[in-house]
Amino acid sequence: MTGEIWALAEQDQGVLSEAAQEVLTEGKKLASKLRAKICAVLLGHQVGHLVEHLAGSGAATVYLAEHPILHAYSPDAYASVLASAVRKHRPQMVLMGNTPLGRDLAATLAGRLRVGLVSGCTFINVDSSNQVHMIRPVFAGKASASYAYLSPRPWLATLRTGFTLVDQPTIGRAAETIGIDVDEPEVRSRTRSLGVTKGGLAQMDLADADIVVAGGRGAGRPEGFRLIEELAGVLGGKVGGTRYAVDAGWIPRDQQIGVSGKAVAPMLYIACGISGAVHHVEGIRESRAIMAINEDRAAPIFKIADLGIVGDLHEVVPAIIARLKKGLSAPVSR
Amino acid sequence: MKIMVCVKQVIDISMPFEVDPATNTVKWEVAELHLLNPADGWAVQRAVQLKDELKDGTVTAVSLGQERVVKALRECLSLGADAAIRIDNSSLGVPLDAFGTALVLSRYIDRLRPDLVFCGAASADIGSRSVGPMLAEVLGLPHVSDVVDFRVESGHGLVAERQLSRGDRESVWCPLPALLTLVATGCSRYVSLPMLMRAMRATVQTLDLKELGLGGPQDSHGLNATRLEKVSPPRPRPRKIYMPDSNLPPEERLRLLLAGGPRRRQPTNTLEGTPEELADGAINFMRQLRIL
Repeated sequence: MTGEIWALAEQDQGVLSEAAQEVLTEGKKLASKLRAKICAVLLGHQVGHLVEHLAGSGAATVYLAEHPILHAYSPDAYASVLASAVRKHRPQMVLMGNTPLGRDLAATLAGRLRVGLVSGCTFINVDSSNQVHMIRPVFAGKASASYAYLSPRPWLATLRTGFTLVDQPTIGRAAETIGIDVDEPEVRSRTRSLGVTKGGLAQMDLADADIVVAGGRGAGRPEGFRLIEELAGVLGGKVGGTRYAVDAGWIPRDQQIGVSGKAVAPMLYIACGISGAVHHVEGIRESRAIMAINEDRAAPIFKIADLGIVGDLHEVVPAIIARLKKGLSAPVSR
Repeated sequence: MKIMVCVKQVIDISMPFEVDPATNTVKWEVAELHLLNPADGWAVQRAVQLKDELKDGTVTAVSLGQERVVKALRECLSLGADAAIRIDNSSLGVPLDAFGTALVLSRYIDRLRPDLVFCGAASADIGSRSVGPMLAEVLGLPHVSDVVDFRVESGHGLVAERQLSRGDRESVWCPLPALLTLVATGCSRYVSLPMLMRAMRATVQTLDLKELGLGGPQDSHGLNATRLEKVSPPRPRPRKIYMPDSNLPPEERLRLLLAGGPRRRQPTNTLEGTPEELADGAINFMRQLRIL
């Protein structure tokens, strides 16, 4: 197959998103397998300075649409600009990140162009006859499904991000830049963004949190969980728990971490009274740092923890909370 | 206000199953259990709530599928929906994908010309999150996806709160008629016995594809835009791969590759002592991570 693979370069306020770079990297891999050309598509207002970065990251061509109407995302405006560009330049596939924007835009564009979309892909398989097979998890990740397209091209897909090692951009690489016309009367938006409010902790999903404090059987009783909640509150983190804690009714089910719950990848994961059964550990493996508090020095959680604290959480956690509340000015290093 | 809610009956994925690698299909260890998709049930409740607030309107639940879907539709009726319609797509012989589902639903919804169409933001089994926006496009309606809250303003527009990542919210103005996909932010409300009895007695109307002008031989594949090839055991979670710097000496590169990169977990540093000493250790650790 020759032709073009398009990767949507999602940006926010003129800053390229992490997802954009991952999608471009994945798109580049796919394009080389299919002997196609990898192109970045950049939509926004005053975003021209990002072209250089996209060229450096390997885009052979950058399609650029700049217009004030594209400043904030709206499905109408973004989809109609993309739809007219697709009709004109006929790419083989259009890839986007599986982000709130990418998911919504891909589905809107698929409805408008009446073409196939596979969303939330984790892998694109190209077989020996150059057919693409889109692989995505189904049944909450307990199985994996493979999809092929039936519709005319372009084929659309959103890719799960956070797994791709992004290529470092090569400075000074050039790319052909092709402008996409934004035809005023046709490109209009029926919806209007009234602004974005930054999320508080209460709205944040467990999987997005930077700090997660979790408890297990060692919490002993609901009051033990109060301590864990307090520590999370002081640190500005979210509360999670093991299946035992959920089954015991100490925390709601949507806070369960592990194989049958959520997978988390925070900057710091604090395991309080968690022994470290494999079903739980599977859900915290990707954490940047793990601190474990447990009475039992032989608990398996200490095998994967960066810092292991052997002690009763009912004594240690209040001591940590007291230290944090006392103010962090006093040096504690000794 | 005429509100239509698109609902799906999903397989309860908390039941044990395994994927048969020989046939590439899912094998359930016990009888399959089917549920009303939680986000869709939430959408029905929000629709009923809105109708009650406005003291005017109807809520109609619509679903695609075989006879068993009636159970999910009765659940919608027990939550307060006024009518329920099942579109029987079994004559197609193939399951519908997101696009096919949107096309079929649009044929029916277009006839009724509702003021609002609600969909659950995601289904619990497949979760492609695409039927809502696709359906809006096919119907020619504006839409807002991933809505956690909304208020209708003066009958011809609404303001919706959209969920973005990391707890961010976007406020969006949208004219009516419109389509919203709703994220469940609460749990199912208590269903009273009279409501349950009413739902059990109500008739669920069934339409087949012919009545919607679909289902001819050309439609058996023509409605779908993708094809499910196979289901297999889950792929291992993708991992970030470590590529060592090519300027390093070969033995160093080999060592790094085998070690999985320099950011490999250090051996656990274990602390013992009084609670205060342990707390100091914890604080120092968090400082090293620059969390404090």
